[in-house]
Amino acid sequence: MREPSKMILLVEDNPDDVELTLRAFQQVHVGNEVVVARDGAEALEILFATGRHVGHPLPEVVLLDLKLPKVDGLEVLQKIRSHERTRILPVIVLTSSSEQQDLVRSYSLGANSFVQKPVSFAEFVDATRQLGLYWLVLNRTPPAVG
Amino acid sequence: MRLTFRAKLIALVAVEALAVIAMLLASSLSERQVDRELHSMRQRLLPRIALKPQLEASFERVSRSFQDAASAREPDRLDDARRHQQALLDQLAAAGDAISAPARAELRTAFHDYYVAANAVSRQLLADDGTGEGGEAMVGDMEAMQALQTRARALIDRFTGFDQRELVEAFTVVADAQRTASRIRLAVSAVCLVSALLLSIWIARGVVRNLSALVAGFARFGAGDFATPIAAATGDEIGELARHANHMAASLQALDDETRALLLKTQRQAAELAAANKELDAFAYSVSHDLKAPLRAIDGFSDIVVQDYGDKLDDKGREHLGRVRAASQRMGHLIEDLLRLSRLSRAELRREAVDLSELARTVVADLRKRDPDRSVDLEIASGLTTSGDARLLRIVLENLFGNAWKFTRNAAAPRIRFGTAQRDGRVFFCVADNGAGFDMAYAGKLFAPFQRLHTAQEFEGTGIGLATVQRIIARHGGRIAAEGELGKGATILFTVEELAT
Repeated sequence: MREPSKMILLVEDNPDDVELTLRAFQQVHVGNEVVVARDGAEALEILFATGRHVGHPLPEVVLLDLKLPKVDGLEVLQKIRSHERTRILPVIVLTSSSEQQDLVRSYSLGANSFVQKPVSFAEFVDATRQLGLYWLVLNRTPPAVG
Repeated sequence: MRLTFRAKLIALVAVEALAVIAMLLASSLSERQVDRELHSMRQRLLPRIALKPQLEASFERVSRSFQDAASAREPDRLDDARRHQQALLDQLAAAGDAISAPARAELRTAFHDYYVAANAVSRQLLADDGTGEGGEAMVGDMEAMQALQTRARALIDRFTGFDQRELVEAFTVVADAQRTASRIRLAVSAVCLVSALLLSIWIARGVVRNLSALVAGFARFGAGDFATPIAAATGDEIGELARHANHMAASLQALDDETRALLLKTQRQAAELAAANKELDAFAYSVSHDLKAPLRAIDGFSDIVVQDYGDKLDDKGREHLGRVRAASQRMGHLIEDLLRLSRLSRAELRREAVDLSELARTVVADLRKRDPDRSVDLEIASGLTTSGDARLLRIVLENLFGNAWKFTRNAAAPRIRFGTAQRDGRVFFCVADNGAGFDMAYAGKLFAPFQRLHTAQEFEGTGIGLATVQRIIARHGGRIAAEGELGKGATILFTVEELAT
């Protein structure tokens, strides 16, 4: 039904959140391939196709948690925006934080969207539906450079 | 040892007074000397001037008497001549110092010679009865007598007159006395003036030198250099002033040091506080992230269990899972509220003029939009203004109106009023409703975080709203109070700034 290249990169260290996110995608019928990075370093390897992920294709969209082991989310975002290959890649910050400071810094580093993960799973499923509809169906991005 | 200006000025006045007295004394003494000389001159000159006509008149009376005796042939006249001669000699004797002793002696001899000659001639003429005998001898005697008469007259002239040398000498003495007097006056005046001048210079120099030191010292103090004291000589009033100024500077220096130390301490405390705040930030962030993740898992997996295995559970099991989910969601709200409260405490306060009436109207408009089915009688007084942080005051009104909105839900004719009220002589803003109200016994607990006076079944809420309001009002330096009666309604009173009573 969809092109196989429309892959989603989920950067999330909490296995519960990974499971719940995958479940939410499933519930709202987002059938795209979801690649999970467990820390910031792994996310960067996947995005720049280096280390254990040589030749890895670019995802369609990145769902980025902020609080991550090794390399934190904001640093990952900064690297994404400072490299030609990933400069225009849509990045959605998906975090538990409601801190104003995180919101401001995320947007000033070039995040496309900032979504606070609700405690309620029902609300989370609803948010996921809207994200999927917008970023995977409605939104158009220029063809990937890499 | 320096004298005070007071002493110096007294000394100056004293010296001036002494000088004036000395001048007067010198002046008067020298004037008296001049007077004395003048007097002595008069004493010497005047009697002699007066003597001349007296001697002349008396001498003429003697001569006349002899002439009369001869021509009228009256021998009695010779007695007159003798009497006049005696008067003449008495006058001469009485002349005293008017003429010199040798002159007196010479005059006396001349008068005597004339008298003797004239007496002899007169007697001869009386004795001669006009025969003309012995005429030649007579003529000789008469000529001799006339010569003596002429000589006497000439001597009167000479000895009662003044020669130039004598006059010059007399005036020179007076002039000398006068010159000496003016010299003394001049010398005394000069000494007085010079001493007064020197004294004045001495005083002025002291003043100027000390004043310069004082000016330089005050300039230093003004520039904040309290370490170098004013180097004014002590002893006089300026020295005293300098001493006090130095004392003041020392106090200021001490105060300055103290202030600096205090400032340093304050800065250190501010830095510590900033560090503590940063830690708090990190903590809040951690709480926000770390506590919510497990809650999400609890809620999410409970939901999944219900969805996937709901048919394998009985109603009781499903209800229990529902409670798990409700509890986790409530905990999520509590965490959010707690974080919001901590953010409020840390946010910077920016004061500006705020129109509370306008703010209240927008807050109420939001409430109506969210709950369009409710009909509440709302009354907002206009022109309620204050100075405060508009963002924070909006949160205050949101909470107060939100509460009033919520607690009037079961009222028959819900009414909310926003205005002012007087308490303890102070004007408070107030939000009053006729809702559920509360028991005044619990009024003190109303503003504590998570403190609720209603069950969750009656009215929802986390109990953080009034705690938030109280914290915002406290940050503004205002006061807050609650009044209420169970079932009748509640009134929250607050001030934003410390109003003058």
